[in-house]
Amino acid sequence: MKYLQKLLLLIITFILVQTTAMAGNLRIVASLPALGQIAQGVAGEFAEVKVLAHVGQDPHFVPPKPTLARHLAHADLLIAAGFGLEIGWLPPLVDASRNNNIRQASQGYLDGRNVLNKVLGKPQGKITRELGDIHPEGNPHWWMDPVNGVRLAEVIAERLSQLDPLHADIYRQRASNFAEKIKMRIPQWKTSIQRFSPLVSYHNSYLYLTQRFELHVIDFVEPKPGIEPSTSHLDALVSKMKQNNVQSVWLEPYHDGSMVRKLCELALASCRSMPDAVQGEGFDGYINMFDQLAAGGK
Amino acid sequence: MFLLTSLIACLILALVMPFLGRRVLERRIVFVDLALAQFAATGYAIGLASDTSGPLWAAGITVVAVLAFAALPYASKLPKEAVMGAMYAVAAAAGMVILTQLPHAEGHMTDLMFGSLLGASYFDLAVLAALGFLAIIMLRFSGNDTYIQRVMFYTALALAVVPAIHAVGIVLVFGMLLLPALAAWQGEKNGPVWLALLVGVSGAVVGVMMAEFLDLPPSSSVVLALFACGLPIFIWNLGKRE
Repeated sequence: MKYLQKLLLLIITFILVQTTAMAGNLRIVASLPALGQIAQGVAGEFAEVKVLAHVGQDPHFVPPKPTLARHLAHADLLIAAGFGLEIGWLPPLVDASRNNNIRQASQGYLDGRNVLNKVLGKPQGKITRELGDIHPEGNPHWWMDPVNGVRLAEVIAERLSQLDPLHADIYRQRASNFAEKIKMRIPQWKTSIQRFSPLVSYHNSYLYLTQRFELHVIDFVEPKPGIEPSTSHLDALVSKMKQNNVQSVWLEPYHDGSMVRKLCELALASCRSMPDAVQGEGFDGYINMFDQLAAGGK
Repeated sequence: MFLLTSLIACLILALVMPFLGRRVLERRIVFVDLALAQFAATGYAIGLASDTSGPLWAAGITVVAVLAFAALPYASKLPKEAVMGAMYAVAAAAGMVILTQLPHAEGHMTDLMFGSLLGASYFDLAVLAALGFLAIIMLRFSGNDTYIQRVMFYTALALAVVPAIHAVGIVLVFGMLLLPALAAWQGEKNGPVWLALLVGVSGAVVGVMMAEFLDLPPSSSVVLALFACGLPIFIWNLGKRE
């Protein structure tokens, strides 16, 4: 009995020590894996980063689970893409978490608006449902441009410096190192990725990337975002692809399917699964994504 | 050519499904097809999760399901639709839970479960036609009285419906299965086969052409065309009854 009591005491002490140790850490929650990797890179061992969506999931539609709300409940900082990308699933989770620190416009929230100097893909003219499921505030897939990734790291570093001034210099240094790494690699990526242009993509997820690396996007498989194509659209697309000598069709991992594979066959283009996030820790994960994209995806 | 394969796929379905649909209407069971398709899909998910052959698991589970359904006697007091509906829910839930263990398989799975008409290749069509033909032959030997006859019936359904759902999607398959047979329904029993087939084929042709010229998603367009073609026939049959 005495032995068991000692063991119990040891276990309880062990757990308490863990809790106090963790209490010093910041808790960051990122909506998407790529954003989480950048946050992990800046924060390092000073924060616990949780990500809501996982690699390969469609960022427009993440199925809500209770654990996600729980992560949000304890978060000090929420990082999201914004521009309406997560509008279908994130707000209810934030409400359910009852965490007022992470609401929009508070110190515990940041998204693309805090990061971008220039928003691409803003629709012109009158916006109605006729245009399909478009993003009225602009194209939200902004992390696909490595320069925006750097900008995000800098913004995260500034925000963490406010939340945890003790390590401010370290955060800023890490963001700066990351910026150097990216700057060095952009020319290599740009040369390598040219061979896949001109291209067709399923959904307009790669706008920021194609602008940065000066790639030519001919058309999209979905005639309007969120709408299945018709036979005439697909047959016309095949001719258009042949006419423009399209090299590759870029698929988000969640849009791969028999229809697109067939399209690639008919149009003599290569079907490439181009991820918007890959497995990996910290900055390496984010950089790895561009390495994979430059190599042609899968 | 997307237009050509879509048209051929719909025509194959239009010439096979009404035969099965008429029997399904006779027996007053519709859910069994959905349940069988879901069992097959869950089997596929198990295969993916355990890194073994998906199709083998799917086929195995479907066979077990067929034998189990056939064991329910025709005139049983147990409400068959309810049993099949419940089994569908259980299989769907099991599949969902298995899926959450696989980070990358979600998109793949939707493609498996609810294929797209536009994705059908010539090989898929050949398989559909062959299995459909086999299913119709098996229907000749099916019935309600003996266990073997019931097994024949559910196997015929599984052979025709499950690959069709995988190839062209659930909505279109169900439309083709039920709308032509319903349109040809006369009074208390099925109308002539040729009438159901006529509705099916005209629905297919009108639907695909409508989708092509009006730039619409083809599966939905065909289902609506089936409804439009079937409705006048249905009303005419209602009048004929007296």
